[in-house]
Amino acid sequence: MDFSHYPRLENDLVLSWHWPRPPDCPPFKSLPAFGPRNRALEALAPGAAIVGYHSAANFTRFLGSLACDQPLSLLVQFSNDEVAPDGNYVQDSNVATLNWDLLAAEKSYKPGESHSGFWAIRLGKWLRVEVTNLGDKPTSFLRVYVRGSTL
Amino acid sequence: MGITHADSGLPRVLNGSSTPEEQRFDLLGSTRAISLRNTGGESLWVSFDRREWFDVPSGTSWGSHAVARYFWHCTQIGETSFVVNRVDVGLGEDHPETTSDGDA
Repeated sequence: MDFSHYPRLENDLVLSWHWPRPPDCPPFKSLPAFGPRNRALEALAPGAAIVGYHSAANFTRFLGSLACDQPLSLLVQFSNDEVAPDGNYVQDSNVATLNWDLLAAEKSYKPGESHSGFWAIRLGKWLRVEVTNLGDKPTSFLRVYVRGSTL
Repeated sequence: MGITHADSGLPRVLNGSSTPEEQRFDLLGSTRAISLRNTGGESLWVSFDRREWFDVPSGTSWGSHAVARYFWHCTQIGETSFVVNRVDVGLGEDHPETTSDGDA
């Protein structure tokens, strides 16, 4: 009857941008569908950035990878703010206003680069990932994945 | 003995998802034991009365021989998924037939 208390996650995908968006298909067994978790809604314009937030408390480390036809920059930041500047508890609507003072990883990516992975140990309660298109064309191909490790 | 014995019952696995909006997850009145596992990346908050809450971190579970008809759940930010293993007593007639390979 009881489930395992070993904190292992099959569904370890924390943030993802997959462009062009793949067709929506049924997921494997009871895993959540990928479509709603894919944050890529359009090609990333030159100079534009995508930003994702997630709580970090359930993970010890974060790892991921980049792939794109344009050069990118990546920032992995943490915040330890317990509340937002207005004193309210952290919510989806105010998480962007926290003090993102902890830079845990920084990376420059060039198209075709094989060393496209990154990782960061958890330094705060909240996670922020920012990816900027440093190229002169919109991204026609983009893969950004951030996964969390519970071990 | 059989499936109507107090310590017997048929397990039913249910999948759910949770957001910052408080939602009610309904159980059957015959549920006598539940286990719940957070299978997503955000902490799951659970309550039976919407006043007292407890958290279930990612990848961990909570279970009890509780008699409950429903529970409330939500996250602080983002979404998470969970699975409920529910044991119902005295059931049998309304369960689907089991095929020879074990699939319902």
